[in-house]
Amino acid sequence: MIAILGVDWFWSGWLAVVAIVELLVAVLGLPDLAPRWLYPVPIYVGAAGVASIVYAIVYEFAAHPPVGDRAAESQRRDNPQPVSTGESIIPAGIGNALVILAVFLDAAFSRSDPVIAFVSLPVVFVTAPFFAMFAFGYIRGQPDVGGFAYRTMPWGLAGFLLLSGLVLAGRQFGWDLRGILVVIGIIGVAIIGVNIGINIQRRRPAE
Amino acid sequence: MIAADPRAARPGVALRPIAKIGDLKCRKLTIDRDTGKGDEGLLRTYSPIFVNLPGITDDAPKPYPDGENDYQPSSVDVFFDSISSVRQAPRGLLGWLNIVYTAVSYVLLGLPALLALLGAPVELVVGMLTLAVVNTVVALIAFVPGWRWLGTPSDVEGLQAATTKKGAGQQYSMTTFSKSKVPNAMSAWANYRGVLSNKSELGDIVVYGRVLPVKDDQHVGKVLQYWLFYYYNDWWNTHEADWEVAMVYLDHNDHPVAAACSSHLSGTWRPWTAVEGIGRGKTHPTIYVARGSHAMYFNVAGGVHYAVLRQPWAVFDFSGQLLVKGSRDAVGRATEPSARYRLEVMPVHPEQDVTSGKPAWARWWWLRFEGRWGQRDGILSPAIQEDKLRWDRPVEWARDHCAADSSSWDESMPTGSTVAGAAG
Repeated sequence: MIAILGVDWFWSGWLAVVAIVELLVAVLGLPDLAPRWLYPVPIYVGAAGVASIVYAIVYEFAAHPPVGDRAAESQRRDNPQPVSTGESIIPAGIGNALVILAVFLDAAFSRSDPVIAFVSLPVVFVTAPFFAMFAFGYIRGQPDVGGFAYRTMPWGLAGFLLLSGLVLAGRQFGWDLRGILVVIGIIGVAIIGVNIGINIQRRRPAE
Repeated sequence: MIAADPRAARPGVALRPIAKIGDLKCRKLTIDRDTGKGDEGLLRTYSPIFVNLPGITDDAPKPYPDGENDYQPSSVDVFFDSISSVRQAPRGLLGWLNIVYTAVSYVLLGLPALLALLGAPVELVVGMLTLAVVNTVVALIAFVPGWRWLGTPSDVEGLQAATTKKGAGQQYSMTTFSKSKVPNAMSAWANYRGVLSNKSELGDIVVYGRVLPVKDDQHVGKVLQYWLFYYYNDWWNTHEADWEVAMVYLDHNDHPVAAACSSHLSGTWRPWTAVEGIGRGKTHPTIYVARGSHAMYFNVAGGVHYAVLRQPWAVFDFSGQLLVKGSRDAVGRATEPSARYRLEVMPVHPEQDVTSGKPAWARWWWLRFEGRWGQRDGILSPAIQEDKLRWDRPVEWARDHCAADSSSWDESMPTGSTVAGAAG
């Protein structure tokens, strides 16, 4: 199926993690309490995120001279290379996502409330990666890329605020929050599944 | 001897219909005169026939997705008729500050919700929320408009002046809209109608031609470039101004060996013998122009091409490439009365020939403009876009960045003995 989708190994792994997490949350619901041995996890996750961001910035400056660096720009013109696309944005986006996830994981573990980690998912999966695209797009002088990301990343924040509002209202009125979040998880898995199905259909050779 | 058509080994690949939608009533755009001297003669001899939707009429509604009319390749003067500019997002150190400030603003907006989830005191949550709201309002009302609008050129003369200063033009995006107005398809169509009705000479259909000598390629000696400027791109994505290009590759004896045309961020190329409209004394390749997007294709297929946008954000799509609803390009066969286009020959090396004070400056200054054309998702001048890939390295563009219909560039290039025959 991976071959049909045309996704490379890196994104295969990334998307598999997303899908599995969503699926587990949807099917099993959220665990009652994180065991104590899980507490260092946010630290490892955050460190991995920072490392990924640093790597991305170093790579970005190696591939794209800073705007205004005339010597570097003229060298690039004399020896042009294909325009970089995702090789620095991807680690930067993943790094952002990991750092943000670490913050929320830490809060969730310390409060023994996995719901806090769950509501962060829109920020982790939307705002964080698109923020990297926004930043590198503008720094590279590609405002179409930066502008697209700039207009997209607020949706993740909006999703987070919406879920947070839902959780706060649920606490206030005594709703079955876990049931609601499981339903939201199922909807998320369904959207992912439909997207994959549509793309498989579109990539099928014409008869 | 005619070079073998490489598509023969894989029949049906190049011309396979993908789907069928609509019945676009298109027309042929042909050059006004197909003979001339020197390089201009080459441009005229091999000028493409563009098959596109007819131009604007008095009662033409919005052109996309259901319209029967579309923007025509035109003089850039159509765009400059009511031009102003906005400042682009900052770059360099200011750009980094902008990024940091945006990040801080997002943290400020998210923090109150996180604090509330953690059970922080209400006073703290309300205080953080107030700070976030004030910061957002100030940014949206003061920072952003102030940065974008203050001190920006508001006419062609101002933009020309900015273009004379190295790097200064990069700061600006040209726009035909009021500075505070988001460009949208209906407004653009109305503006376009207004421009054309006010000045009849702007209604010309114009194609910009350029002959680029190629020194270091064993197959290609010259490239004929046909640049098409459109007032607006009205498709799945919309933006002011659009540049498309068709190219004919000549060998060292000025005989054609291949053709290429742009579509979205890349394009397609074909061996000359496989191009529609060629042969038996016919020298004008047929190219189909998609409705709204103005992407160009060598075949009409079943009326639609799936547009594949290999953009950075495509990594977020599950197929690894952006295939979204509406990203289909509709093309059609010519059934309506044909029209003519006028050729304007561009300077080959604007860095040398188009400088302030030289005669060519007034006419071609925009080739040196380093800013964007369009205030949202604006594109760059043909002479500098994609690090000059299409402008100065057209062989590399076709060979490495365009999709071949059926075979590789090296497989398709004829040997010296077959070139003359292939030229027909």
